[in-house]
Amino acid sequence: MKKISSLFKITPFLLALAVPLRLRADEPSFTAEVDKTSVALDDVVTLRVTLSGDGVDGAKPVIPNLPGFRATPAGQSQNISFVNGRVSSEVSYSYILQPQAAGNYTIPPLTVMIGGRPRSTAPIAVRVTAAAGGGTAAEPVAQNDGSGRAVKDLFLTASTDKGTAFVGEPVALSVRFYSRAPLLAQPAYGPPDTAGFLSEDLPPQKQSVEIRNGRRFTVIELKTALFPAAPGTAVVGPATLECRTEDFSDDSPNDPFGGGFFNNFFSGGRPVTLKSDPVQVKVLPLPSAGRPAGFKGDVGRYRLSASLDKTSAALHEPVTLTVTVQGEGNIKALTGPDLPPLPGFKAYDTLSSLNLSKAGWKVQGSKVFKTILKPEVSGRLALPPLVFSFFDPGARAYRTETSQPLALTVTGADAAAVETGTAPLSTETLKVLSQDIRYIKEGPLRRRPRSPGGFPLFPLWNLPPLAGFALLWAAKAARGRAAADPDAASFRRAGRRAARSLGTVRALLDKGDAASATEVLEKTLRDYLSDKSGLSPQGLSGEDAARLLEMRGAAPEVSGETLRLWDELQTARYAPGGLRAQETARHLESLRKLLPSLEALWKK
Amino acid sequence: MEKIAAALLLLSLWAPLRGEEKSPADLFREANASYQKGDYAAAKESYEKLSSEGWAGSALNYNLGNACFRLGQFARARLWYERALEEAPRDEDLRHNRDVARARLGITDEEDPGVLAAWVGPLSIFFAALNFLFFGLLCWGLFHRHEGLWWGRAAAGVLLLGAGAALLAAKTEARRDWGVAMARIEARAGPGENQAAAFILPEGRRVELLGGEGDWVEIGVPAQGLKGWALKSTVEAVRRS
Repeated sequence: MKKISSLFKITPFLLALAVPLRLRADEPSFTAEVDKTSVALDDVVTLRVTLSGDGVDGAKPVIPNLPGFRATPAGQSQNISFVNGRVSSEVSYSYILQPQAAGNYTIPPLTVMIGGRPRSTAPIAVRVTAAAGGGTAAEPVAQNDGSGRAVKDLFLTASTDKGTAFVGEPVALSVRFYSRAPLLAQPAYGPPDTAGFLSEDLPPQKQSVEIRNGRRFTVIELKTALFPAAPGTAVVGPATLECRTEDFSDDSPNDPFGGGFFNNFFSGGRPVTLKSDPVQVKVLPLPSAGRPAGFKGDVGRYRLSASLDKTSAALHEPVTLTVTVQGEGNIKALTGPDLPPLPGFKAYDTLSSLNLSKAGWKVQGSKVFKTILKPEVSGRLALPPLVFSFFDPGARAYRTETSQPLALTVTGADAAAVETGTAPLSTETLKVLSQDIRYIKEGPLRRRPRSPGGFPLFPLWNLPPLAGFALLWAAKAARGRAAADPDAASFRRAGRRAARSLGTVRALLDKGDAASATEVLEKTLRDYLSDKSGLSPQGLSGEDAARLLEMRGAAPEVSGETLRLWDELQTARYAPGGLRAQETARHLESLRKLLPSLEALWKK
Repeated sequence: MEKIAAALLLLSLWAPLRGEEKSPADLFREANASYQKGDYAAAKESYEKLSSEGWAGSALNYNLGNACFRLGQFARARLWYERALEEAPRDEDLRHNRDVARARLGITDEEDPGVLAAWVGPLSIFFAALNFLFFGLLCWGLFHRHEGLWWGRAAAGVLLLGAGAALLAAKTEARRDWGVAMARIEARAGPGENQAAAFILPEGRRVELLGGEGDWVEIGVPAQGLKGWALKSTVEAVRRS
């Protein structure tokens, strides 16, 4: 929000000479330019054709029929300069082009013969619109002087080349001073208030001739580039111009020495204050869709380039990284790209410089960012590409420019100095140069990972101790019960004990020890009946056995078989020679078959 | 005899005609070589081929994360690092690379989910050892009496309970489903574009996956106590079925 800081004093006489002097090369040049490439149907375009250089005297361009326009000569100006002892001249011809219909037209190349050779200008494209564009203030019918009297021959207008712009998008403000009356003193110009904009003057002033409603005006135009600072409606305040013009209002027609004459002579004419209408510009916010991550608010059209001043350097030898952002836009406010992490380098502060050009009444140029880098490791060091994002208002889109990657070959310390021990002792301490990822691994491949929990067969590892304890505890409890009631324990164990014992008998028979087998067989039956009855095995007799079986309600065949077996085994126990193996085996089988039936007796 | 010779000849020709198929280990080595040469795109392609064929392992996921990182795909790199961390949660290189990827994504306020989840394995071993010790002491105590034995059993019991609780917490934590945002997410209050926007999640951020409905998945940011819904296409799960 910077006001134009200086007042302009416009002198028509000086303005007539205000054609910029050009240092001319020997080679003649022939150029054509227009003050605007887009014009409304009720506006005019000023075509300025310039010949400069040696041999241009006497040359006059031929203006062909310009489709879409009616051309009216608006005068010529000549400039002669002396530079380094050489004389060169420049002649400019101005033409007012009045558009006839809306559309896109091309001013064709103009030709002129200079030094016997034809010279041509480049074609110029001009667009004629049906309605006035931008925040153009209407031409005042009349503007007032200080006394309230209407002034028809002098007025001030202000307009912008667009009525809607994005934040940061350049808007060209044109303040035009229209004059048909001669001025008696230098006017005092008050620039408009441009709060809400950043601004940049666009010299030089332009002078042209314009025909409005059939009247011919001399137009002096001041251009300023405005950059809206925030979204909303921004207003360019009125510009003012204080001047003095001739006043013949008191004249009597027959009085040659009328009051008007004396008024102009003694009082310096009539004071006039001209004021332009304010101009509104609708400022749009920059779109959020598509905004790059690194966007910092730069608006315009730019190109990015980066370079190092060396391709190789010694260790710790400084190199300069130059980053240039070039294009159109608010160059002064450019932020430039951020430096990415530069592993292997120590970066110092960045200094910037500005190259501004306002040719063609556009703010363009470049901003150069220089950073000193010091390589801290040797080898081939790569600088990653720089990225710069900006908003292109013409395309209404964000763009990202990327510079090319750079590389620097860094040579290490002098090897000979290291060998002879003359290399300086290093005073470096441990330094982390970059935060980067670690290298890849050579680890094994395997199929999809196991389920969360990370420990296979978890229950299998943890059940055995519990199971083991449970078993031991049960065993101990059983032992305890057995110790507390041995008879009951014997009773419960009788069947299992007898079955185990029969296994022993079988083993003895297999070994051929029939005598021992018979003895064990007899003992088995005796112990079984003893365990079941609670009687001592030594005192158990056949009668006891019979009574026992009868008490338990044994079936006759079970009882009979049991007692038969008892008798034969008792006899064999005391008879010399005992039983033969076959007989013992037969008894063994009998007892084996009998045991389940006997067990059943005690389960009733 | 002639028929056998003909069959053998045909077999010897068939293998070259069919083309040599690389083994997974060879493909992995080839991918590593591409990475070492700086051809990160080729390395990524090979790693992804192995992964799509059902191969995993923390090294494969880690290397794939590195390749994505070098190609500037930081969110995807982060996703693969998280997948590798599922298998090797205490790998220091993995954690470092995951943190670097997070820093590149500009994520500075994310808390790591439950450190306990990384200790399920060691806790399981510790629990099993305590289990053996505790029940071993109990069994010993069935047949011997000693005051010190009682204290030993008591201590082992307390430790076993503690380890059991920690293991349960770790397993509960490890079973949580996580995802990574693959794009900037505008989380909604419900599953649908017409639902009110609840919060914005930047690309690369880790979220908890809480459920799904149609094309939408419910996501949570436990550290900030946020829950919302996002399109399934914008979130990728860390744990793949």
